[in-house]
Amino acid sequence: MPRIGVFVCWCGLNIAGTVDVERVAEAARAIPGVVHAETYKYFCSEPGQNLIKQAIQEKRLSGVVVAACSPSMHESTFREAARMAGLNPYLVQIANIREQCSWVHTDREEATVKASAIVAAMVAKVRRDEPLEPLKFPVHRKALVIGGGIAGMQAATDIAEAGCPVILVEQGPNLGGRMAQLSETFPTLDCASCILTPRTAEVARHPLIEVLAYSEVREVTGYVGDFTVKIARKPAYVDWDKCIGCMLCQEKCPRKIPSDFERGLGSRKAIGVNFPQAVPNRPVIDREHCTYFEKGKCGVCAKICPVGAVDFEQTETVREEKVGAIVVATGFDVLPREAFGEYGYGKYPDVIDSLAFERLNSSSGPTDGVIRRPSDGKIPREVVFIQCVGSRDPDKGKPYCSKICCMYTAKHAMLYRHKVPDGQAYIFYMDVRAGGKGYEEFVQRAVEADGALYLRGRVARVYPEDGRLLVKGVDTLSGQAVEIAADLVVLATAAVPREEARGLAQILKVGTDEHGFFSEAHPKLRPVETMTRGIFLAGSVQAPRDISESVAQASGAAAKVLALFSRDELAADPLVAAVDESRCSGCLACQPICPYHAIEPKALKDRQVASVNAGLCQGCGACAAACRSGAMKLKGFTDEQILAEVGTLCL
Amino acid sequence: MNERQAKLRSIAGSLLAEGRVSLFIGFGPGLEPSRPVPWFAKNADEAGKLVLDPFCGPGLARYLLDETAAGPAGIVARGCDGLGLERLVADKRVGRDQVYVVGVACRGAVDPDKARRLAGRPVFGAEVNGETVALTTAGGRLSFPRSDCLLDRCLACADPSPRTADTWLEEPLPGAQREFEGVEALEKLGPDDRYAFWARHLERCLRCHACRNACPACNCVACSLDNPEWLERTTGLADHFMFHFTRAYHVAGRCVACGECQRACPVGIPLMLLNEKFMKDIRDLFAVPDPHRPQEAEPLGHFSPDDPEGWREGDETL
Repeated sequence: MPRIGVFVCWCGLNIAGTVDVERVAEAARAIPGVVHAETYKYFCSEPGQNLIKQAIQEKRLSGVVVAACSPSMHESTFREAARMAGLNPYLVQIANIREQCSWVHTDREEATVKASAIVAAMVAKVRRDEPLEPLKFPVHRKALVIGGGIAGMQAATDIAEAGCPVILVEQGPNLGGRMAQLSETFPTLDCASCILTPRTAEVARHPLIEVLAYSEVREVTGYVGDFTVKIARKPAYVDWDKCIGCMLCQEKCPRKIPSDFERGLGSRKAIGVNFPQAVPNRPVIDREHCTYFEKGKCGVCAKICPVGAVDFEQTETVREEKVGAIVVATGFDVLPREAFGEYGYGKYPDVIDSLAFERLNSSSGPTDGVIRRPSDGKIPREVVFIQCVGSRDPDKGKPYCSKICCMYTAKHAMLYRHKVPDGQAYIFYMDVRAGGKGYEEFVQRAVEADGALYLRGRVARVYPEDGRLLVKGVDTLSGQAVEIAADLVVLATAAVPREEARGLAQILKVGTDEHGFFSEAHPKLRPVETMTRGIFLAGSVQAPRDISESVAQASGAAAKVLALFSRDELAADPLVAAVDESRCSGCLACQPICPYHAIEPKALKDRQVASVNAGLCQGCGACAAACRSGAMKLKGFTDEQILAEVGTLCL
Repeated sequence: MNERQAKLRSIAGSLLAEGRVSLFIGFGPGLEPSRPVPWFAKNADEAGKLVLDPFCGPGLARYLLDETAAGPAGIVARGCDGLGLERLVADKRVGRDQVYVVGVACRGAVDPDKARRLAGRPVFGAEVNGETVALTTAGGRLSFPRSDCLLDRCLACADPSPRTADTWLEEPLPGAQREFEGVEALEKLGPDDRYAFWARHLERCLRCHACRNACPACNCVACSLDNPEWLERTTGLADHFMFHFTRAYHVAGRCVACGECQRACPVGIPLMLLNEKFMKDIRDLFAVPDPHRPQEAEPLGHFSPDDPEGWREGDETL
C-alpha cells in the first residue's frame, strides 16, 4: 500500500493569495494512499525542507508530492531533501500550482479546485513512480580541442593549466588561426602577432598540451567522459621530427604560387610555412602545386635539406585517442569573392576584402606593412570601405550581422590614415554597431582624430575609370547620390562558418543553425554547451565574435570541461529511455529519429530489438513517441505514469 | 483461356519444384468464382490451382509477415502488394531476400459485391477492358463502367505494378501520382459536419480489428491498441474514435495506400480517408511527391542536423 505525503506550499502569497491551500491539503487527505498532507509558508526554506524530511521518516512515506512552484525551480531541492531523509529522490513529484495555477488565475474558488486536481494528478503519477538510481560513467580526464586559433589555444591553455592533458588539433600547418593574419587589433591597436606569438609559444611548449597540427578529426564515438576520437595526420611530405626548421627548402624551392594566407596578394613557395613566426615551425609541401608531384622531377627541397627530412612517400596516419570532453573552436571564414559581382570583387584587382587589407597592413605581409594597391603598387590616396558586404543581406542568405566588421573597418580607416596622412578614408555603412568596452570611443576616434568620413548608405556599383575605381552609392542621410573616385576599395565581407565545419558537426553530432554556425544548448543560459553533453563551443564557430569575446567564451568552455573533470565519475539523470524487449518489434523506427544516435539494434535469439546507450541518451523522449507498440519507455515519464496523470485530471 | 494464369502457375510450379521458395502466395478457388481466396501453394500440384483473374482482390503482402518464417516465400505481386512488401522490409519485419516477387500489371480488381448488385444475379467471370468491365452471368455478358465495378482501393490506385520484382509475369505498368479528392471534399466541411461524418461512420465499428489485421503497416509484435492502459475493451463511440485515430497516427507516414483496411472492413467505414489526409499533408508540408511509397528517410521518421530549428528561434523572442 502506498504511503504518500502531500506538501502544499503557500509560496508566501504567491500561491496562498489565490489558492485556498488548506482546502487543497484537505482534499489531498481524501485521496486513497495519501497518509499525510500539510501546508507551510515556504517549503523550499530550511525549516520547510525539514518538515518534509521529518514526515518522510515519521510517516514512512513511499512517495512525496510537493505542490509548489515549477519543477524547474525547486524539483532538485526537494529531491535532495528526500534523499537525505532516506527516500529515493525520483519518488518525489512536483505539482506546479504556482505558474500553472495561482499566477494565471484570479478566481479563488476555481483556482483552488484546479490546484486540487493538479495535486491529485501528481499523486496518481507518484504512485506509479519507481525508484531510480543515477547513472554513473567514468571520466577520462583528457580534453580534445579542435581548432588552433585564439579561442582553441585559450581553452587548451586553461584546461592544461588546471593540470589536465589536452590534445589540440589544428587542420592547418600552424597555430594562430585567423588572428595570425591580422595586423593590429581593436580597440587598443596593439599588434596582433605581439599578443598572439607569446600565447602560441606557450601552447607549444606546455607539457600537458599536445599540438597535432595539419590534422583532422575524422570520427567521434562514445559519450561524455568517454569519447573515442580518430585523428588523421595529413601528409606534410616532411618528417617533422627530423626537420630542424631551417627553411632552406622554402628558400630554394623554385615554385612560386599565390598565397591563401596573404589572400592572394603575395606568393609563397610550394614548400614552407605560412609566416615566419609559425608554430610549429615546420614546412609542408603543397602537393597540388609541387613540381615534383606534378612532373616527378625537381626534388630541390629533398636535395637541399641538411637532415633528409623531405619524404615524398609520406602518407596519412590515423591515431585513436580517448578523451572526456571536446571543445570545438574551428572559427570562421569570409564569404567567397564570387558572391559580389556588383562590387567587382575578383574582377578588379584593387577591390579587396578586409582580410587582404589586414595583410597589406601587416609588417610581415606582402608589402611589408606599406599600404600599396595590388594593381600597380601605388599608395592609394582615397580608399572606400564598404561595410555589411553580404551581412544583413537576406538576398545573399546572410541576414545576420557579422558583428566584427564595424570595429575592424574603423580600425582600418585609422591605420590607413596613420600610414598615409594625406589619404582619405570613406566608409559606407548601414549602422555602426560599437557595443563593447571602449568600442564606441574607438569609432569616434577614427572619425574625429583620423578623419574617416562615414557615409550612411549602400554602394550600388563599382567600376574602373581612368585607372581608378568609381564608387557609386547613395548617402541616405542627405539623400544625395555619391560618387567617389577611389584608388582602393575594401569590402567587409560577411563572416561565415568554415566549409569543413558542416562535416565536423555531423561527426560530432552537434546541431547547426541554418547558416552552419554550431548551435548552443541555450542562447542565454547555456551558451558554451551544445546539445551533446561533453561537447563545448568556443569562438566564431558558434557565431561571429571578436577576439576578446572568443577568449572569454573559450575560458568559459574550459571551465565547463574542468567541472566535468573535477569528478571521478559522472552522474547522469536516470531519466533515459529503455526498451521493453518483449514488446519491441525491432523495426528501429526509433533509430533515425534519435538526435543523439543513442539507439542501436541488439540481436536476441530469434529476432532483433532496439537498445539504448544510456550514456548517449539525453532523455528527450523522441523514441518513446515514435514507438507504436509502446516498447520504448522514458524512465520517469512512462506511458502508464502520464496516462495516470492525465486520466486523473480528466476524469 | 487465361494465359496469365497459366504462366503464373508454371512460374510458381517451377519455383516450388526447384526449392527456391518453400511456399507460393497467390489466389486460389473460393466458394464462388467471384471470390477467389488467398492461396498458399506448397507444391506444384497446389500451384496448378492458382487463380489470376479480375476478382483477385485481397492484398497479399501482409501474409509475408508469418509465411516467411519457415523459409523464402514466392508471391504474385500487384503494385499494392509490392508496396506492402516494401513496408515490411523497411520495418525490418521481413527480409527482402526471403521473398521472390512475381510482378504483374494490375488493371484493377472487381468488387464482388458491387458486381453482384449491378448484375442483379450471380457473376461467374469478369474482364476489365479500359473503362468498362464485362461481367459474365448466367444471363450472358453485361457491360458496366469501370468506376462502378472496381474495389474502392483500385479506383484510387496509382501503382498498378510493384516497383521491383524478381521476375515479371508481364510488362509492368508505370506508376502515377495519387490524388486526394475525397480528402479535399471532407476538408471543405466545417468541424461540426466533419465530426458528424466520422461519428456516423465510426458508430458502425464492431472493433473486429480486421482493418488492423489486414494492414501491412500494422506489423508490430505487440500492438498498443491491445493495451487496456490506452484503450478499454468497450465499444462506445469515443473508444472507436480513439482506436481509429490512434491507428491512423501509427501508420501516418508509413501507410502504403493499399486500401486493405477499408476493403477488409465489414461495415464499410471509409478508413482510407484518414490515411489519405496524412498522405496529403505530408505531400504538401514536406514536399514528398509520393508519400505512400516508402522513402529512404521517412519524412515523419528521421532526425536531421539540417532540420531548421525553428522552435529555438522562437525561443529567442521570449
